[in-house]
Amino acid sequence: MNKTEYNLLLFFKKNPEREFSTTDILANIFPEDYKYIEEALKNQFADKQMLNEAKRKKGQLHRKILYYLNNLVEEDILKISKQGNKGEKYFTILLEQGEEIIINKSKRKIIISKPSMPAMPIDGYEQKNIAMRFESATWIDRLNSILLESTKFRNLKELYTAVNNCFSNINDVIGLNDFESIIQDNDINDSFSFLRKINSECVDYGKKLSCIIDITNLKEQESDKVIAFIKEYCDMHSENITLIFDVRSKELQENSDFFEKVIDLFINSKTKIYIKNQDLYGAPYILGRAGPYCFDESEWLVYKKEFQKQSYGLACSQSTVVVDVNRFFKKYNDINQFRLFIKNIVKSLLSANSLQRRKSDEYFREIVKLTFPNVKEVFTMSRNYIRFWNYGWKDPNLNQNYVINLIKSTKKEIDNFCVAEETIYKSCGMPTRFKVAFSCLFNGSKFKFSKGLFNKIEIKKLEDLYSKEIKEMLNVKEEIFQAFDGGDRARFYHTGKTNSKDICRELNIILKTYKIPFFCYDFGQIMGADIKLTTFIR
Amino acid sequence: MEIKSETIINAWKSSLKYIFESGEDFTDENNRVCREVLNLVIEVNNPGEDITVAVDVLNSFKKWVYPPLDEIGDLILSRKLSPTYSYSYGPRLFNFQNTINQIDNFIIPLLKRNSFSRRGIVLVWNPIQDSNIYKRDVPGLISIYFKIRKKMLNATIVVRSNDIFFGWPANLYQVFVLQDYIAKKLGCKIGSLTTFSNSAHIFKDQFEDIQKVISD
Repeated sequence: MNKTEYNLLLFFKKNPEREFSTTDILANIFPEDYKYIEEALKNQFADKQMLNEAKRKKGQLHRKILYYLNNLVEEDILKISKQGNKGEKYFTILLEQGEEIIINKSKRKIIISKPSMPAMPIDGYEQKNIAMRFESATWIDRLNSILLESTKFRNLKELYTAVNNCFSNINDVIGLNDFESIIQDNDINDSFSFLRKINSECVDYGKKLSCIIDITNLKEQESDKVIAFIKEYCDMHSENITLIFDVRSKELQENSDFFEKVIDLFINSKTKIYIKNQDLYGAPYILGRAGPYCFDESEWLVYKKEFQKQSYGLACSQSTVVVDVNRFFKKYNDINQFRLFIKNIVKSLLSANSLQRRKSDEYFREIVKLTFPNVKEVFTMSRNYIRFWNYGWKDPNLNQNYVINLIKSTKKEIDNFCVAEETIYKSCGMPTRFKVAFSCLFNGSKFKFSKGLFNKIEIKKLEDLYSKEIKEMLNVKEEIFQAFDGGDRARFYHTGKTNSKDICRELNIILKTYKIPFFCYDFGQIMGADIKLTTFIR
Repeated sequence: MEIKSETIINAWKSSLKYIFESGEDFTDENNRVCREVLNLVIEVNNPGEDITVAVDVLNSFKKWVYPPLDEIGDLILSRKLSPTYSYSYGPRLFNFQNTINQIDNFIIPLLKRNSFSRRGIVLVWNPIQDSNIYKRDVPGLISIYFKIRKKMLNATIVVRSNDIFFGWPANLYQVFVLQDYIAKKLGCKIGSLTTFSNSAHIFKDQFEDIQKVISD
């Protein structure tokens, strides 16, 4: 085994769970050469010859290291985990947790192993497809969602780089807070290009991005720019980027011209529009593949007052377990067993957090780098999530209050457990945060869960919002929003003929009348839209 | 009051019993009823004999999850502060204020040079960070004093606020891990471990579980 190859393998042996860029690897394998190159390139007094020499040497070393790295990829020892900015390759060891690889070449032997995950008290439920870890392969070494403060980035290039780097540390979604400032303060063509580029990155990495537009901060003179951006977004039909309008009912009325134009764009492109009611919920909502994420409102107020000015971003959620409630009750039909089951999930999340904490520097390297030196504040508001699938609200035969009360009382028990755990850790000299939030799960079929019961909130006209049936449904939904402290979403399907004026009125009624902090209007089935054959037959 | 014992488990049970029977009740800032004894000294002569037993007892309760021993131990030896903790002891011992390694560059050379030294003290409490009335989490452990007597490394810790039921077993384990690290470097054996708790307390909501431990 060649010395460089040997050193490379030793390097990965020390860090079997991590992903490294070619440059990182280069800096570690040839530290002296790398130091010389970096110093030469940063040297303000370096002459042209010195710079050229440093660049030539850098290229040479990159080619050299890539030769060995690619060989190890061919031998199935390493894998290319992603291609980052400017096509730079990232590598990880090709091992599953608990697996071991023995490389034995010409008198040199290296054993690399990836530590296995400890047994968790949900393993049995996973085997029965009742509970699942969301993104089990990276359940511990990535966060589920983070929120970046758009205003802290000087330009779109910086923001793009930050989002792109964070992709390797998250499982589900990145939220961009106060995104309206990005649209308003940058050239519109640059914003278009950002949108296209980031969308393609989201598709490649399978991540979601939520851009939060706070209507309070809209500048009248920039409204054309914002409209143009929204048009570009609607035309793109992106499945990975969500625009979330953070709005108060008063603002909706005051900016009715603007909103009518915006809604027209969403109607014409049959794109879903997401609204967060700022009067009801001050903290941001973001939308991932698993479902909605949000922050605790009282904690958000403290963050806004004390840390937001210096903050680049915040971890929103750490690990998630998803639960098929319907399948659980079909199998066990026991409330006490359900409470125990949820407590077991919480215990598993506690173990996951313990592993995460000890390696957080390593696992969340990009986030730590981005938020330095205020790293500690990044984790002060994050929560773990338990997401429920088929929990009954769409089942007309089930007593809704029964399910809601069960979820609420279980939540109370879990909150007490979390407080007790925080106290124990604190008394052991390990002050740390441990919180668990409840929320809904989108797309249970991805986890082979039971078939989702589908009870639509369908609106044809304004008056429907006052109909007994819709009112009852929304009242139940209000209760669920209270039970799900990790966020929920109400989805309104608009059918029939409509126009932006009417939609504005409907939105206003929802914002003013119902305690529904986050909802979407789905225009996929309005008259004039392309209806799929299956929908038409139904 | 001073409690002396050969083993951790006996010292722990005796201390819990003493606080339970002789402590005074008050309600703390988190609205929890607390039974307290001031200035309690607990000396364990042979901590290595049963260093994990008290933690094992706590783990046998299914009501809660006690922190894993490797996490407890890691924290006292780790030089870097993980972003997920408000503070941890390791960085304060090994990299106090990003200025001094109190263990490798002070305690070990000091005791190597003069094994009878009475200056072997390290601080965890950092007034620059902790003497702040608005700060939520500050360390309970204030200082650790190391001295070699009869060729054995003894340690005494001062804890300002000590939950004897949940916190004390973890404190002992952490200091034992550090004591072991230093003893190995000095080539001596581990001696006694003494805790001086300014406020040694237990909480009323755990009285039932505490009684189980005492009577076991």
